[in-house]
Order: sequence, then C-alpha cells, then structure tokens
Amino acid sequence: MSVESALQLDLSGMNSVFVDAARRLAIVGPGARYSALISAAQTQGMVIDIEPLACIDFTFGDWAHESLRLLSSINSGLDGVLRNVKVIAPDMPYQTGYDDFPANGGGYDLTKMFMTSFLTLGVPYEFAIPVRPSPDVMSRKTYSFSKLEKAIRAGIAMHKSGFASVLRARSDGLGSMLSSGDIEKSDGFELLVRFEGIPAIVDAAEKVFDELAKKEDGKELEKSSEPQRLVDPSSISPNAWLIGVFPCDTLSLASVVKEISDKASKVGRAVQFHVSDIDPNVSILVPVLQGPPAPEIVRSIGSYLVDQRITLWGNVAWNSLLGDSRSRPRLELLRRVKSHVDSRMILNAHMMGAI
Amino acid sequence: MIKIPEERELYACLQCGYCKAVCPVYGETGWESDNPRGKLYALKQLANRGPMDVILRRNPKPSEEYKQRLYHCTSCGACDEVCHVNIKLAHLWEELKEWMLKQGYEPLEAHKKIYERVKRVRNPYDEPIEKRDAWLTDKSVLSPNPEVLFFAGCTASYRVGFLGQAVAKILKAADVKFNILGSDEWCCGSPLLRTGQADIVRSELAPHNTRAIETRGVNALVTACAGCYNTIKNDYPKIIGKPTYKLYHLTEYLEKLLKEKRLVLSKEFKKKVTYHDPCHLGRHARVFEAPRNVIKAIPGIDFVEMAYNREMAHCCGAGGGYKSAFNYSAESIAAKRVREAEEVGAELIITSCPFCQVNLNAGAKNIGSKVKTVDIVQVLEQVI
Amino acid sequence: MIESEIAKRSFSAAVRPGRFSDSPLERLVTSHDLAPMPKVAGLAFKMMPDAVIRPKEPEEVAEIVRIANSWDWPVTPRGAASWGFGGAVPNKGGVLLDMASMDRIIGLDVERGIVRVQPGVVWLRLDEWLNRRGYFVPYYPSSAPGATVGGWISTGGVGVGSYRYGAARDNVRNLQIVLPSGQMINTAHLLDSRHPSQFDLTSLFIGAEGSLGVVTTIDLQVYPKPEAFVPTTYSFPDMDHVFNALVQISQAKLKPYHVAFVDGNYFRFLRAMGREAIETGGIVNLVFEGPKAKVDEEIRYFDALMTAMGGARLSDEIAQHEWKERSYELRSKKLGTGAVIGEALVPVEKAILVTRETMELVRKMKMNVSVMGYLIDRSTVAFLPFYLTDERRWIKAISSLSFVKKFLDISSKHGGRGVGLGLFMANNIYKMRDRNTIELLKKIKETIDPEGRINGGKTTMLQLRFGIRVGPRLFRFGMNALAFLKRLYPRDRYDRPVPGGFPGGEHE
Repeated sequence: MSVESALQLDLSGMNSVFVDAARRLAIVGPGARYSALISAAQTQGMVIDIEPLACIDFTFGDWAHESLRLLSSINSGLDGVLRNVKVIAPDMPYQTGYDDFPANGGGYDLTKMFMTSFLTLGVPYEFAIPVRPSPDVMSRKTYSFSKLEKAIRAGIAMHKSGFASVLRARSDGLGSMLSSGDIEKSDGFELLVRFEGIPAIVDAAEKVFDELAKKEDGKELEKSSEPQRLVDPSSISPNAWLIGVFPCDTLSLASVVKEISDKASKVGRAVQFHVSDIDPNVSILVPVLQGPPAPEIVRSIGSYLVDQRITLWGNVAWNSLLGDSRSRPRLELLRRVKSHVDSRMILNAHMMGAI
Repeated sequence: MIKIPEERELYACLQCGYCKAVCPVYGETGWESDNPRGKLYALKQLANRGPMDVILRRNPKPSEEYKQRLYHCTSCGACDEVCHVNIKLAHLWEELKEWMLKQGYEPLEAHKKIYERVKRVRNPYDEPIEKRDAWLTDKSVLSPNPEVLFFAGCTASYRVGFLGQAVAKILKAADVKFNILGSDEWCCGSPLLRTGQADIVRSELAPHNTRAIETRGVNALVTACAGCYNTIKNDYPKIIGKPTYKLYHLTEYLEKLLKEKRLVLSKEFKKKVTYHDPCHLGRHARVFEAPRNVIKAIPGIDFVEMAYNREMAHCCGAGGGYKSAFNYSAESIAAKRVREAEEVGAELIITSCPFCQVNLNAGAKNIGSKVKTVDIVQVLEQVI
Repeated sequence: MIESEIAKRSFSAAVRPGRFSDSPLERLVTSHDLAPMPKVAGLAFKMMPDAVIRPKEPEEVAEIVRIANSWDWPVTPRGAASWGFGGAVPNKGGVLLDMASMDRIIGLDVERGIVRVQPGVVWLRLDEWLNRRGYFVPYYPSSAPGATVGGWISTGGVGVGSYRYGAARDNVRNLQIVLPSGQMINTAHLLDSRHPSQFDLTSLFIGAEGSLGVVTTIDLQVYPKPEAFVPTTYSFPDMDHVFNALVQISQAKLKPYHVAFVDGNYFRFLRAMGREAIETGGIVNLVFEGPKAKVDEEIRYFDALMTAMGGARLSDEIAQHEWKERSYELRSKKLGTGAVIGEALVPVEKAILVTRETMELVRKMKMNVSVMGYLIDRSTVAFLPFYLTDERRWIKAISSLSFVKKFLDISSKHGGRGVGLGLFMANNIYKMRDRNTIELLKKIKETIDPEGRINGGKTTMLQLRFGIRVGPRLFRFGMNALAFLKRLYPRDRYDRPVPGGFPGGEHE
C-alpha cells in the first residue's frame, strides 16, 4: 500500500457521548472529545479514571491511535479504564472485550492489544468506559522541590502510602526567554498531587503527604478545592513543540531529564518537562521544547533516548520501536493477527513495518 | 468394588490441592502421586474400579508402586491441618497403610525390622531389655514415693541417654519426686502405629505399658519424647480407654514447675534461638505454647520464631518411618528447615523430640550450616 | 509403539533425570482436575496423558514443545488443576506438563514493587514470602492455599481483592511465554508499568486458558503491606436484604478492598456436620486495608450504610474467622461426599432475581444448594452456588452437573455469563461473545497454534476424540437430558442425622 494513495478517515463526526449512570458505563464515539465526556459524566454525578497527558483535550480516536492515556493511581479504587471497544476492520467487525463485564476468562481479551496497536487492527466506532460516582472532595496541592530527584522520591513515597492520589510533576519556570535573550534556568520541579474522597480521608492523606514532602525539603505552593482542570492547555506555553511521550524508568528519570536539558541548552534552547503519573516503576516523561520547532535538537534528543532504550509512545515518526529486537517477536504475532482482520493491509500498514 | 476404610472421608476429597502445597515429601519429589490428594485420587479410582476402566485402558489397582507411595509420608499431619473439607488425613494414612498390609503387601524392609525388634526386645534398636534404664547412672535420685513417673522412651533410653540424664537433673533441681519404669517400660508403639503395623501395639504394647504405669499407683506421667507423648495421649485411649493418670509432656510439666516456682532458672543463656515444633507434639498433640513459655523464661535468651511455626511448622522429615526408609530425603527436608532457622538469624534450634534433633543436625551438617539443634532439656540443665 | 518409545526418550532427555514418568499411576493421578467427571467422559476425551514431565526451567519447556512438534504429540500444561473446566486436563493424551515444579520465586524489585515468579508458585506461599519482606499481593483466587500463579492468570484472574485492585490483567506487567512453535517471547516491554506500551500482548495471554502458549515466567505488581487490615462481617435477615446492600455498596463513593456474601444455607450445612456456626439469613463480609486513618473512616462510612440497609455488625472474632475461611467455602462437602460449584458473573442489580430463580430450580431438581460470591467491580457480582451431591452414585452425580448449565442459563437470561471455557464449557463462548468476534478468536488460535499443539480442542472449540467437534446445540441437548434424568430421582438425602432439622435432609 503506497503512502501517496492513502485515505484518511475523519471520525470527528462520530462524537456521541452517552453516560449510563445506572450501569456505570459511558459509551462514546471515536470523535468525542475528552472534555465532552467529563462534563456529561459530571451532570450525572460521575467521574472517569482517565486523565490526559499534559492536559490536552484528546478525542477517543486519538486515544486509540496514540495510546495517550493516563491512569489514576491504583489505590483510588480504580474502576478500570476501558471495558470494550467495538471495531470495524476491513475483513470483519468485532468487539475486543465483553459488553458490560470485566474482561476475564471466556476467550481472549483483545482490548489492550487493540489499543496499543496504533489502529492497525481496525477502526474503533464505540468505546465502553466505566464511570464511578464523583467523590465528595477533590482537591489539589502543589509542592515545590529544588531537584527532580527529591520530587520523585517524595512522589514514590506518596504512591506507596496507600492513599488515593494522582501524581504528576512539572519543571517549574518555563525556561522562558529573558529580555537579555538568555534562558531563565531552573532545576526545580513541582509535584502536583490530586486528592479525592470523603473529607476525613482527604484530610488524613494531606497530612501524610505534607510530611512526605517535607522529608525531601518540599514546600507547599498552593491548595485549591476547585475541581482540577484536567484540560488545561495553558499549562503548556503557546510557543512550544511537544517532542514526544516517553515511558521512562522512574529511578533514572532525573538523569534522563538532565541529559535532555543539557543537549537543549548547548544550542541555546530550553525544555519544559511534564511527568505524568509518577509510579515507582515507570513514569511518563513528556518533554516540551520551548520556542519554534528545531528538528536537529529533537533528533539528537531522540537518539539519546533510543540509546537509553527508552522507547517512544505513539509517535509515528520514530522507527526505533520497529527495529527494537525485543518487540520483533510480538510484532510478528500481531502481523499474523492483522492478517485475519486486514488481509489487504489497508490500515496504517506502515506502523507495523510492513513497508 | 473394593471396600476401602473410611470411604466417606475418601470421597470427600475435593482435589483442591491445599495439602499438596504443604506436603514435605511432595516438596522433595514433586510427583503428584506423592502428595495426599494424588494418593486419595488413586484410591478412589481403585474403589470405583469397573468395566469402564477396561474400555478406557486404565488399570487402577492397589500395586506395589501405590504401597510405596503410602510410605512416602512423614506423618507430619500438615495435610490434615489445611484440608479444605476436614478429612482426618493423619488418621486416614495409618488406616490405609494397615489396610494395604492386610491385603498381603509387605511392609518396607526397614519397618519390618522395627516390628521384629520391638516384638523381641521391646525397642526398635535391638538393644537388651535389661539395659533399658542404664541411661540413669545415679539411681539414688529415684524416689519410692514418686509424684510423677518419667517415661523415657526408647530413643532416650538407648541412644541419647544424656537427654534422660538432663531430665533427671532438672527434676532433682526442682525437688520433684519421680521414678521410672525401668525394663518395665516397653516401646510406646509409635513407629509401629505410623507404619501400619498396629496389631502389636493393640495386643501387647499398650496394655502392658498401661498396666505398668497404673500399678505403680502414680497419677501423673511425664515424657520428654514427642512421639511417646502423642501416642499415649491420642492413640492409647482408643485402644485401652481413658487413662487413670494425667499425662504431661515434659515442657508442659516444666511450665507448671516454673509457674509454681519450684523450678528456678538462674543462670543466663545468651543466644539467639528459635523453636522447632515437632509434628507429634505440635500438630498432633496441640502443644504449642508450653515449650515456648519455658524457653522464654530462660534469662538472657533471645527468642525468634521461624516463618512457619505452630500449626504451620514445617516437618523435619524424620517421622512416620520416613527416616529409616528414606534417609537421604529425610535429611534433605531437614536441611530446608535449618535454612529457615538461618533466615531468622537463629544460632540454635531448640526442639523437644529426639528424632527432630538427630535429623535436623544431620541436615545441617549436609549443607555445612553452623546452626545446631538441641533439646530443650540440654539448655535447661545449663541454666538451673 | 516403538515410535512412542523413541518419542518418550526424546522427551526424557529434555529434562533433568527423574522428571519424566510414564508410569500408569502417575498418569492416572494427573488425568483430572476438580470436576468430578464420571469415567464415561473418558470415552469422549483421552484424558490420560501418555507421559508426565516436570520441567524446572523455561528452556526445558521450550525444548519439550519443540520435541512435541516433531513427534506431533499434544501438550497440556497443568498448574494445581484446581479449576473445574478441564483446562489442565488432557483431551487428546500426549504430554502433561506439570508446571507445579517450576515454583521458584525469582526475586522482588523492592523499588518498583514488582515480583518475578515461576508459574508453579502457590499464591498463599507468595503472599507469605512477600509479607516477610514488607509487601503483600492483594489479589488472588479464593483457592490461594493451593492454586498457582500461572493457573489463575490463565483462567482470567478475578478473585479476592479484585474489587479494588482489578483483575490479573491489571496487575501482570509481563509474561514470558513459550509459544506453540517453541519460540519464547515476552509479552510486554520489560519496563512497563500499568501503562501498556506498544503492541501489548500481555492481556491476550491472560485468560487464554493456556491455549496460546505455556506461561514460564510472570512479573506481578505487588504493594507495600498496609498499616491496617480489617475484616468486618454484617448479618442480614435474608438474601434480599443482602443483595440490596450489595447494590448500595457498588454505588458508594468509597470502595472496600473486598466485598463478599454468604447465604444462611452455608452455615446450616456446617451445623448439619456438627460444627458450630452462626444463625443468619445471610452475611456480607467487607474487608478494608490501607493506612489506619483511611481504614477507620472507611469502616465508619460503610457501617452507616450497612446499618441503614438492615445489617447488624458481628464481632471482630467472627469477622476474622470468616476472613480466614474465605478459602474454605466447601467445608461442608462431606455432608454429601460430593459438591459441585457453579460460577457465573451477574449484574449486581439482577442478583436478587438470579438467586430467586436458582432457588426455584434447586427445588425442582430436589437439591441442596448454598449461594455465595463477591463483587468484582461496580457492575458485577461473581456468583458461586454450590450444591451437595453424592459422587458415589454416579447417575445422580452427573445429572446434577446439568445444574451448572441450567444455572448459567438463568444467569444469561439476566445479562450474566459464565466465567470460563476450558474443555467442558467451551461452548459457552457462544453466550459470551458475538459471532464475528468468535470467528476472530478462532482465527487467532489457529494463527498462533496452527497444529492445536497446546490445549488444542479447548477454549475456542469443543473437540472430542477422533476430532469430532461438538457444537452448542448438541451440547445443550445432552445437558437437558441429564437434567431430566436427575428430576426422576428422589430428593437428595444424606446418611447423617441432621440436628435441628434441615431442609431436604432426612434421617435414614
């Protein structure tokens, strides 16, 4: 299938959102936006356990294509993120899971496989997403740390504390251009913690988290009890270029961030970092290059990351994944699965290195 | 259909595998036929044997192989402890062994020898019956008006006399008037009961021992051997009825003496120790706390528990005739237990069963471990 | 004959000495799982393996599968075989891979909270091992004292703790699998967290019932031991109250760690056996874990809720006992000598209807049934009715098996479904997925296992001896015939006197 005669499917018209509070399930189309779902859920007193990376308002089709998702902390009473996807593939329609039930037994569950295959296995036309009752209290707290390592240590301790929270980090100071033309540098990182639950539990959690932050010399920045704006494009400065989304080993996150910053500052550029969903094992690093796009820096950062065996999530331009020997046996299996749903290789064939 | 004892117990088996996960012999060999549920399944197929088996070309029959499997068992009772449906497995295995022998199968060579010896000289070590009380060098400690009789058991009498000596020393220090049965003390019958050779226990050993004890007119009996204690406590009443005397394990008796302040432990024993529950004392006879209380009363002692203790204690591997028939495997099981002691940093394992002691030390030696196993009386005699 | 001898020798050489057996005894004791199958089932399937092999390392498994390919022998992996669907039972003979010998806990990464285990590790042993290191594994089957890691994840992995921690799919980070071709793969990037990365196959193999390959290593997410762990038990006047309470719990803003229910019959059975047991119309067990401050609040919150729904909190002693008994649901099996467990997932709000209709079915079939279960998530209850039967009277036993099918029918009617497929229930797939998807699943099986090497003839299809396939209609017919047979018999009786009377029990 040659690239020139590619057909692009515009699914933005399929943007229905239906929240069935009684069944604790939301049914959305691929063109629906995340913000539409959370407001529909809110009107019924429900929330969902998905948060966008770097506060971008994605469509669910994007989500399936780019796996741009983020999960709440496992301790928050995770209701599961996705029950089922109804798919149309060139050779056959199918469903990845079971309509209403958790995926278990009963034949193979294809949901995660489908969602991490960059839409090479079909086009989704309906997603079933669990919803749960809104917690009584949702509040946000930000702690500032002088170094990323401290923020991470505090974050990991909070994650292991047993209290429900969502933990993200963000480099403070946007590395903005000063009037002198120099870049304002700052090593500091902010830890953004979101709590939810009944007031007594949230209070108890806060006390514990304050202690854990203090242990790493963290300072409280702000506390607000308004629902956190999960879609907040202003958190990324307008003149910026998202380099990519990288799942990264948490324990070496600090050294990776330093390397990237150094590479960028060597050519007089600054990078803003977002870390989504800090987890003791893997955290999602989202570096954002400040200023106009610059392919050379991006490439140099890219090859550094490849050397570190940190692979990219969801960006079509990177071929490193396809060449990664660890992925090859899996890709083989997936090509075989693909041959049954898309024998003529119509969908995103290049994603599987078919070219 | 072949009539098998305890059929209802047999059919109750769920095949859940809880017993498999705790069986020490299965832990060694890994074969399904070596674990309790495998043995029960084979037997159930045997009980259900019919023409369908011929069509399916299955041939379940009580075989030499199956008999061997029945003897792949240390009679530790862990299976009984965790059984989902409460099958009295500990009892069942003995019944089944006896049943197999009644079918005409021969006991294992090593067990046959034990039977012959006990029949002849009333102990499994082939030692003269007159020398039964030779372990007690100073007979003057014995009292003509004892408040308690000490049942030494075959192993203390003929093999580890120093344990008996230690008991005598401790009882003397506590000013306890005691006596022994001498050559009137016959093997309690434990090794025979556990190997399916119970007839001699029923017809000779139990009646004799009971008579010997009761004619002394003493109303308390104390034994230091876990096997003897379990047998007299749990098996004898089924054979000869309720006893007229009160039975103590030595650790229970010592606990009593300590409470009554008749026994005072004055010297220090500064070691990090753990306690290994002998299966016959622990799971079978349900004595868990007395030994621990006695140990903890020792000044200066640093007591730690192994991860698996009390009802869930791991077997040392020696019981049920296993050591005499499969010594290599028994010592391998013991080595695992020693490693558990090492894991908690213990320098010393204290136990209250001579078989456990011997086997654990053998296992430790095989793996070059510095952890030694001693009997509780060996420690106590140093601190009184 | 000679060919099979040579084949056996190749297999034997693939493992260390003493790990291969073709003795009739060994093959007999591994030819079954938990289902009390009558021998006549052996006509339909070749359940006796030709050889039993106990590998110790993944490479041995790969070698065995390769040899099986060259000799065209089927392979059946087996864990603790504590399921009742025939997933671990050979259906075409061949090699039985006893994975229980691969029981090493390889290591714990304390920073990340990931433990790497071999598939034969028993869940309870794993939890005990983790406890000693300050961690715990909060999700496992109720059969944890015997079930293996490899087995449970292969059957889908919902159980104790799934309400809070999700199913196995949410907690397995990576699997090392030996494919039917003999090739070994890892299903995910080694660094993965809860976020599956590109081309994640982990959740494809979980719940695949061993039909896509042999699991040889598992990486599990585990968690630091909680500060507080508190079971609570509430007693209700009857099961209607219990299910109303469950609906409220499923809609509550907070989530306990585990929510289970047990009906009054369970305790009546225990009393019939002469054991002490509480008198109740039904109980709900709520278990809480986490930091003490949080647990205290959660208990307070749910206490108010349960009391409002008519529940009375029982003592801590009873609650602790009930928690410990979570793995002992079949204590009363001896009463019948046999007991069979049905299993179905049912929408929470339909649980009352399912129970009522099940009890009606029980009455018609003259059986004695107890119902218990637990919440899996906010929408779903796992329903586990068990009934007492007499295995010694085989016709009654197998006709009672049709109860399982009828119970599933009731569940289906109310939007529920069965839990597994395996061998015996493979046709349930028609109730669980739509036709197109089933086609795809069959193709996936064909593509990954073209020769049907590993557990062929199960899960995506039901295949008898000589390659005969049984479709859903034939299966239904058979089950209905058995149910009819059972109804001809008088009510189940037990030959043990029942103090205090017992519905359906009579003195002999």
